[in-house]
Amino acid sequence: MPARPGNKMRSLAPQEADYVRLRAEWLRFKNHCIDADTELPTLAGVMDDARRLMEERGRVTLLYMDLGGDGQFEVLHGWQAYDDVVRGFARALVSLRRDGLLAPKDVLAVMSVRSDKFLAFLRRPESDTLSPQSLALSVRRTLEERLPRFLPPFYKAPFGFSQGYAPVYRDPMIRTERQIHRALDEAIYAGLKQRSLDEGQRLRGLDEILRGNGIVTMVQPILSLATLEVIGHEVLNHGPAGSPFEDAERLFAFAERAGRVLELERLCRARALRFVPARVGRGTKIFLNTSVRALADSEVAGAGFIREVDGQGIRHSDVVLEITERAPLEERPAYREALRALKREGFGIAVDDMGAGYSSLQSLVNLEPDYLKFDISLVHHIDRSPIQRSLLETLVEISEKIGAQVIAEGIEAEAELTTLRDMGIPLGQGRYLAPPAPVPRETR
Amino acid sequence: MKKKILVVDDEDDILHFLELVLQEKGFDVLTASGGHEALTRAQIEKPDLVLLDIMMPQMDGWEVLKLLRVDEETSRIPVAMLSARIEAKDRVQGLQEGAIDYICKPFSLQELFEKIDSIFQQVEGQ
Repeated sequence: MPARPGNKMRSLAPQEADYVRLRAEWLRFKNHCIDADTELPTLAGVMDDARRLMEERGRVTLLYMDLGGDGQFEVLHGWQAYDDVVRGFARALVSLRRDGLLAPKDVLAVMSVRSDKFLAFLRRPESDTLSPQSLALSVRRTLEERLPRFLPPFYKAPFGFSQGYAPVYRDPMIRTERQIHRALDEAIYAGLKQRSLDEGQRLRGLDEILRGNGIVTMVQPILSLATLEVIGHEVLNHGPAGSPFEDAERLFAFAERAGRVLELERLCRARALRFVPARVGRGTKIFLNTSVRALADSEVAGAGFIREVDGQGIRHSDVVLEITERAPLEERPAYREALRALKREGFGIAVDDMGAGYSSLQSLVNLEPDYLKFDISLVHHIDRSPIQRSLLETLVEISEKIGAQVIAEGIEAEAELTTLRDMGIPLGQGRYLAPPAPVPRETR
Repeated sequence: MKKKILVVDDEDDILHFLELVLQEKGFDVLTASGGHEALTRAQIEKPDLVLLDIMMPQMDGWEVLKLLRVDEETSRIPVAMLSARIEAKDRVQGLQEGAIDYICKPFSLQELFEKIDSIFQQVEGQ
């Protein structure tokens, strides 16, 4: 921009202007070759290294690892949590160099900037007899075992990824780069095949759970941050310990994909109403997770549910339905009507996981929720991030305007608690305050 | 030691104004009137803080922020976004791209100084 007359701003000398332009272009270019988050190069950035490796050896194994495979993690936990996972995975992958599972010159890369798909071009010493298959398997085992150490402590669930591999041969008839892309397609396809096998196994696991075997019901207290008094409990359900479904989010996401989430919710609802009231103090509230779709279901949120609540002698005002849904609710008039009916019955309404769906906040006015829960992606490390605080402040302001109480979820540390308390957030939940505790099993 | 602040804005009036008030306050002030220039200045001068306008022609603040993060020499410099927009989506984007804070235009001088103080405290606390 040319300097205006009388303006004291200095303008750039021509050489300086060239430098400025070239540097910006170089950074732009670099931005495509290196992923700043994982600090790994992208496939485009390592093409020539991979080519050289092939020329030296004649043959390398391309290993492809897809973290996003089973899909739902980022949707459920938000981009921040997923960034942590992707970064942790990258660091775990790089750490394989230290124990010789990867050779120093083996090439590691991400597919592209901010991708959750990783590549390794592996060159094994000729003396080594490890087949590509067993190499891929030992990389996988080591990564799975090591990953928890590279993730923040609250990602305790085993984190799955799909993996495929393909050999890449040097063939003078074929351009090396195309050869690499072809091998990549093959490795991706192998990864998909493996995933569908795993899926079959999981479907059988889900079947077991829906038959009532292995599901664990827990309650986690919700506290007033000012007085640390327990005002209620959220009921949580997860699959058997040690199985992939130990992570509740995974269990529900998988049931959703398998089209059986309603069955699962009915099971959880029945267990909650049967076992929880005896476990928690009278006069405290019971928060029950409910998906938007299940609002239309009699057992989960309709007549059957109300009968069961009344049968257990639970006051309607002590029950809060916690709606878990990311899609904007206002687009679903039928569900809005269901919510109104529940409110008329005297039940409380909470909206879960606000933060990911912040944009729909304003539209919640019509729903008149009693509580808004802000999830871990907003709360985690809130003490260290002013911009995160300012975002939360904005959301709290809106909540106050619509007359809802805010519950901050995922409080993991004292500093987070102090910050949230100073910000005047009324309610909170998290491991630091009180971890989820199992509800005693049914007496036989 | 004097703290060095790089101010980036395509409007010369704002740039000049911020230069004056921040100098007055005892900061070493650098200016850049566009994204390209900001990247070079940041690399050469290694400021302690960048105040970065979002809406700029050619290269907007988000891209500048991203490219600052790509270079090891500038990747750790705290960046606060300046903008007239205050929508939640901008705050989220600021957070996603790794901005440290957000300053809404128009701001009072008081507010600006307080923000800058709290950013420096924040950075030193880490």
